[in-house]
Amino acid sequence: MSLSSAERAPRSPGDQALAYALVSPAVAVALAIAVLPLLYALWLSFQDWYLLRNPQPIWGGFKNFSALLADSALWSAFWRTCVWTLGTVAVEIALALPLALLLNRDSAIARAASALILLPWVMPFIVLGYGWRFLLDSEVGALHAVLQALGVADTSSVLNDPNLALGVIIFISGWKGMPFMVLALLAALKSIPDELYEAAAIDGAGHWQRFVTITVPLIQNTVVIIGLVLGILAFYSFDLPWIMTRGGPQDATTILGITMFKAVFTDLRPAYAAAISVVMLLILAGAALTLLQLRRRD
Amino acid sequence: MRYGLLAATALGSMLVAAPAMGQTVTFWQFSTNPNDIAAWEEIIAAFEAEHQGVDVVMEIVPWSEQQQRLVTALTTGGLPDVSMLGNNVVAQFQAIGALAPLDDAFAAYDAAHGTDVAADIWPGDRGYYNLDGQWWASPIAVETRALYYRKDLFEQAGLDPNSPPDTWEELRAAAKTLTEAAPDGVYGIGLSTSLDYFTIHNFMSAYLGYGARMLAEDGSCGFDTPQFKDALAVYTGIALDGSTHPDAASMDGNTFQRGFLDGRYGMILMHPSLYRDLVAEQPDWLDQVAIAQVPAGPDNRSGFLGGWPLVMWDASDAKEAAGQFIMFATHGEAFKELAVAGGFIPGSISLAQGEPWTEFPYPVFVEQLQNARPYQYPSQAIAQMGQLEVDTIQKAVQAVALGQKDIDAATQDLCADINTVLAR
Repeated sequence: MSLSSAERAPRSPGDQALAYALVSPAVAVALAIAVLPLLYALWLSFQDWYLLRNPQPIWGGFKNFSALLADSALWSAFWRTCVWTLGTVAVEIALALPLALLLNRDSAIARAASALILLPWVMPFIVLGYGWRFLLDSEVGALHAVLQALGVADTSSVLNDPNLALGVIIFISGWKGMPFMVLALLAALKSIPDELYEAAAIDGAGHWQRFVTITVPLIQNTVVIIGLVLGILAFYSFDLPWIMTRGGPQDATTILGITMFKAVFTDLRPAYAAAISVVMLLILAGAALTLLQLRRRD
Repeated sequence: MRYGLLAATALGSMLVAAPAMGQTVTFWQFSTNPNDIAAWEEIIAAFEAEHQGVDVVMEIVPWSEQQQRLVTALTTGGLPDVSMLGNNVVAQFQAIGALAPLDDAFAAYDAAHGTDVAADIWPGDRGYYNLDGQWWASPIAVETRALYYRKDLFEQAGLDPNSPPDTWEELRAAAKTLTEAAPDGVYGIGLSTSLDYFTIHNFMSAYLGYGARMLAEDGSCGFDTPQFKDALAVYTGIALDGSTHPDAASMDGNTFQRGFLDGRYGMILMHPSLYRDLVAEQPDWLDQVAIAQVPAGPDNRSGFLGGWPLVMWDASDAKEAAGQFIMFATHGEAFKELAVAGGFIPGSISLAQGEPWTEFPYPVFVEQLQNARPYQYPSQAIAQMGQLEVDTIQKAVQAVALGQKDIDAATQDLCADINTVLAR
């Protein structure tokens, strides 16, 4: 189908102005809710604003950024956040892939289960946080009893163990995000033509070979894109570790979101928190762009 | 002279009673307890009836959110005219320049009522609220902790029910004996080692009692001493002995209080309103509850000094009316009803010396208040206390209680953290 000559004719200045006028409210809203806060955070990151010393922000240049480079606790939180992010996405994929394969059936049970599986995703953090705390309670927690029987936990809850607390909360974070990955994978699985599997079966390919040579390559893009989205969400997490452990025991579950929260509300250093957020944004943007470039090269 | 006084009193009365025309006073109130809210509504109604044209608008901001709300309002605007505040952070907001002094409001109230409100404030609170020679807060409540203990559980464990532990060492020993004699799930004492305020509220009695001081004479960390290490050892030893809940490293004060009400602990260091809750719930063993003073250390007996005042924010454009409301709400009959409803000890000494604070269980707390001291005793209040109590001292206690650090390492790291905060 080709465009008619009338459709290809250049638009009049009036038409162009009308088009700009029509999109301008959307652009204004986008600027107000996305760009302006970003610019404010950038401006704030260059201020010297420790409330106990300077009640109002004053120009501080790179002061916050040099303090940030020397802050060993912050970098510990950064590496912990990287583990948290990668761990969360890994758990999401590990839980979502088998579930998506099981649910990729056109049956009433699969449809009902697909809806039920959304529960963790729609559940508020406060509800699931306290729910998991109850399950892991050393006296009444059913899960604690299982972990104790397996020799993983002693008399105290695993949330009190600096070596286990992060792993446990990473699992819960992955469980919470898993439904989103399941739905995306289900959509990807349903888009694979049955003929491919039939042809492979005729050629003598077994279940595992069909999974590795057909399913995995065709859902790979979905896993990467959705994994990237969920990874970005995980990197900016705050709610779950705050509700469950407040960043403890010690600093075992203190990730960057909690560090920023404390920088503002406990340490009264909003400009320092802004500098952390700017660095986080740059790191995350760099990582995302690198991942997408690698993906395109493949 | 008499005419002069009369004239001054009349002038003061006019200042206090003069209607501030069409003014609104916004008030952030932190308690979510329905009884407290009802009592505050009565105070506001009484104030508005006496001060025509002044409208007090109360907003409930829960204690758990007040720091976030205040700091956000401080940095972006939207502070109230009046709010409650924790006593330990008055110095912080005063240092920022966010509070307005109350000296004029104190003077006007004294002139109108023939009182001396400043002299009626508990000695410990004066150190929190009188900074740089000016008054920045008017106390509502003053709080200290005493030792609740179960005489029936003491008897079962072979301990003398009429001889509660008098020192921290005795407390540790009694907690261990009680735990060993109690059925599963019942512990000697409800004592937290978590990153919760309940930890520092209890532990400060130990370190002050052992003679440790938060700040050295040069203003730096003063904790790196044998006294502090002994206090840290005895306090965390209770958890390491298994004499408290195994999840003590992550439990908060409300959970421990609920546990005591449920009969899970033989002892707990708690405020007077716990007794109000016990009376309300009427457990079988209510008549077995006794209350003693907080244990002493080798150096002295020091109680926790908590409390919350009303403050006026400097951003207020209704300062006169706000000052009148603060003085009205923290003195007089309406305030007494609020204190009775809340089950707390009033920040006014003269009020606390009358009924119902002369009846059990209050006298032991009122006596304890004579020895109640701030965290940084004997130093002056410092602006950084809000940061120090949350993220340094409690972390040191938790590290030792979880076996992550020994006493020496935890103390060294604690002092490094405190000095970092002080040097900012």
